[in-house]
Amino acid sequence: MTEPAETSRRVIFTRAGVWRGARASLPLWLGMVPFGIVVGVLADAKGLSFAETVLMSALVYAGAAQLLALELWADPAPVAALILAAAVVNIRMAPMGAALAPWLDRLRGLRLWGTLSTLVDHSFAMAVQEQRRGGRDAGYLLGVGLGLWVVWLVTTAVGHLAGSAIRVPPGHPLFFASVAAFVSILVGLWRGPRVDLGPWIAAGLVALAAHRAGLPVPVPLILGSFAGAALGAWIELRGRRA
Amino acid sequence: MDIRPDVLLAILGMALVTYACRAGGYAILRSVRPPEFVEAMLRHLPGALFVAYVTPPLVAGSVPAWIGAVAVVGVQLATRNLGLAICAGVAAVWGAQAALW
Repeated sequence: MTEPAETSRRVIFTRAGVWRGARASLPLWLGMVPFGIVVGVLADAKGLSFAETVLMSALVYAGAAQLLALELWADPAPVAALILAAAVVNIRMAPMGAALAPWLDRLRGLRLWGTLSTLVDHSFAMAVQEQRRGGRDAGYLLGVGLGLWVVWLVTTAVGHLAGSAIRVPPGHPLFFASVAAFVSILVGLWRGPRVDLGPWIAAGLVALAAHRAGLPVPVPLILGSFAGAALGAWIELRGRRA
Repeated sequence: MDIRPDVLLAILGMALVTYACRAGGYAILRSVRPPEFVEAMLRHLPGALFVAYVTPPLVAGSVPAWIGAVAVVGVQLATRNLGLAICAGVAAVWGAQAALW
């Protein structure tokens, strides 16, 4: 959004750019492999078939949302709760596309809407860095997204196969992996006590209270998220006006 | 290898809302500027969401869960690697459970 108009007018979309993005995604694979395997193993433990697991990875392609869905999973599937939870987790992606407008505004049709379907946290972060370096090839964004999509498919598939081979019993330390994943994401999101401390405490307390009150999933999650986000927004806007 | 209808419905619904977040966010936010408060809320939503998710299990959790959480934060700070941090957390819980019981 801060890009000068002159740069965005010369935006291109080439196969070479897609390849460069895919190669740039290689170092990120190391971080994704264990995450994908954990999601695959948990999917198996929750009773999802191999085909269901791979289909979910291919179509949803959002690690945190898939992990959360598996936590909420029951048989038969609580469809409405799962869809609602996915929307709440993934709403964070909505501002990403807008931030990449200097590239995306120059694309049309399948290139635009197809590239958007591969948008994830990592490809967004890498594309923003590339834009700041003066990169003009929007294929880079698609390349990173596609590269990570392939790894995600393969690792969740491998995780499911491994899970069905070793049969993880309930209460196994492996189930801590989902909490661990969200805790490590939080470390990256932390912007300091002045911005995040109050909202995070509010989110935790409201979620805990709703959970103790016996409200069904994902209601505690949604109440906590919106309470924390609303407090954060209020503090931020009040600070700006003062 | 089968796909159950309720699971298929859940997957398609999740895929649809996720695509709506990815593409709809771009389509709407580039033409319409949402109210300041909504923009600020979107910035705060991810952190609040994950805190809301981990708080009940960590509060209800035993000592191993707390040790695991500390290990995750430590390894994430040191390496900035999500996969390594998750593995360290699981390993810490595993070790703590084995040591305590």
